[in-house]
Amino acid sequence: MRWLPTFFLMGAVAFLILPILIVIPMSFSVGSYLAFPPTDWGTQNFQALWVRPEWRDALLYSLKVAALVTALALPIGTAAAFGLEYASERWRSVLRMFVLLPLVVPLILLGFALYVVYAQLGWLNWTPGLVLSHLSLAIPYVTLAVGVGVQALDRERFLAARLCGADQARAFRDAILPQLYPSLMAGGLFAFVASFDEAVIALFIASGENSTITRQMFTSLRDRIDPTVSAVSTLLLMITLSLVLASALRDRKTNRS
Amino acid sequence: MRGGTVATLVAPALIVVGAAVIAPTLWMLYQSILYQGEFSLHHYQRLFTSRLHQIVIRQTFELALTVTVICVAIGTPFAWFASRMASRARNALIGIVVVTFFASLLVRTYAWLVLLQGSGLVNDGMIALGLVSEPLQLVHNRTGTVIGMVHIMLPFFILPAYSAFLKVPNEIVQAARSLGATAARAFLSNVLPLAASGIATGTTFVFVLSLGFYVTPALLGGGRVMTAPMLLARDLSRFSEWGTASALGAVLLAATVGLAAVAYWLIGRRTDADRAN
Repeated sequence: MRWLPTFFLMGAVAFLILPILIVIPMSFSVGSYLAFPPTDWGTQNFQALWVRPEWRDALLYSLKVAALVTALALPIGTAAAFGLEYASERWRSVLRMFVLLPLVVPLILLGFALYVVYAQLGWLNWTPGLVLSHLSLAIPYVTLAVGVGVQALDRERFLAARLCGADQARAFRDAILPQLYPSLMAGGLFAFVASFDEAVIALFIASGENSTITRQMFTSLRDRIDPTVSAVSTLLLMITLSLVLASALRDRKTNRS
Repeated sequence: MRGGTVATLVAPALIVVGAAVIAPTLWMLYQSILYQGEFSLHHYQRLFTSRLHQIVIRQTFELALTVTVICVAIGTPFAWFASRMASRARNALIGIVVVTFFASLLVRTYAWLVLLQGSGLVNDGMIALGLVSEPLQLVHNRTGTVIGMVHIMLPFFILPAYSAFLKVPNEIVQAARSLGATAARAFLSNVLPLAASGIATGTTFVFVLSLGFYVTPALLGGGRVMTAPMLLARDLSRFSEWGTASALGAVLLAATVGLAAVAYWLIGRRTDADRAN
């Protein structure tokens, strides 16, 4: 009976990870989209991602949106993390609830409600409209990630810098910010992925020329599967993996200091 | 660093949440109680008299319940066995769970589409093993939807359950066993109550999140599964249906937020009781 738990664990782990891993060899297959294991190997799916305009445009558009979202979410989310840290006990839980709210509301409801509102405002398929909605999903991740770093801050370094004659801004930049780099990196990656990987809201409010890569992938899977999907999948998995590694690295550094 | 500063620091985040989440949600609620320009519960009445809406609401809850039961059935032994492993094996196992937790939902749905098709790896494997004589219909139906959703939801159950089990000392099991309890009995009456809050958290996560699934049932259900989110998406293109769709959205919102709040309250109370003991 001793082998039973091990056997069960192995089975469950295989169920969890194997379906994700098969995507990588599939992206290097040539020909029919659904063949696994592949019969012929090549990089034509990745080439198609770049050569075929509908995929390239969607990829570039998603990168643009995700970059904008990350650039905005980092300062806003970091400011909120500091605000929550310094808020009084009573306000902190209320404010935290509001900042984290976008993670609780089902995406489908946000997508539907945003579509209805944007349709009336004429904001459908408008980049700032999509950036705004993705921003609300990205900020909570930044606040959570940076919040961990803010709690572990060595504040005496700030005082030391001030005593050495640095003004507030300089002391913050040179004595506080470097301590937050690992958290900021993890938060930034989370923010990037929250936008880049988001499929539901984008499906509703970003179409036509402003299609995201996830929307392109969804419609391809629904209507007529295109082998390029497997190349996009591998790309998304690589980004996810770097996210997990970055936050593992962050935890190590935070624990050490 | 008081009042004013805190407000200035948090304000930008709150403005974004207000504009992108709270305002549209309120607008949706407002639309649901408006009929031909006047306040009315017409849309809610329609929701509860239309056969389509009734079927869809029932299917949504049934699907979420099925996925939750399977996740609890697989996840509980997984989390428990994993928590009893040596620390190295334990970290490797949970590391894999964390990777799957973060892996793109769209990518995983695609992978299952490939694996479960008629000539896919799962069917080929079962035929090679002699389990079935011809390919089973595993995708473009309810079965495929359930498999795909369980795969996505399982980490949401395992992670909180695992961290609860991790706090249960080995001595508890040994004591129960030495007093003559079977392994199953020791687990059910001595271990499970100690990890109840973690298991309740995981169960709530799975059920609540399953209610809002759109992408997976839309792609793996092949039109044979219709969930409330899918109905919302369909009604989007019909302006005349926005009111009823808003009412459906309100029901979905109430179910999700309501269940999450009740669970939060119950789990909080339980943890307090644990502390008091």
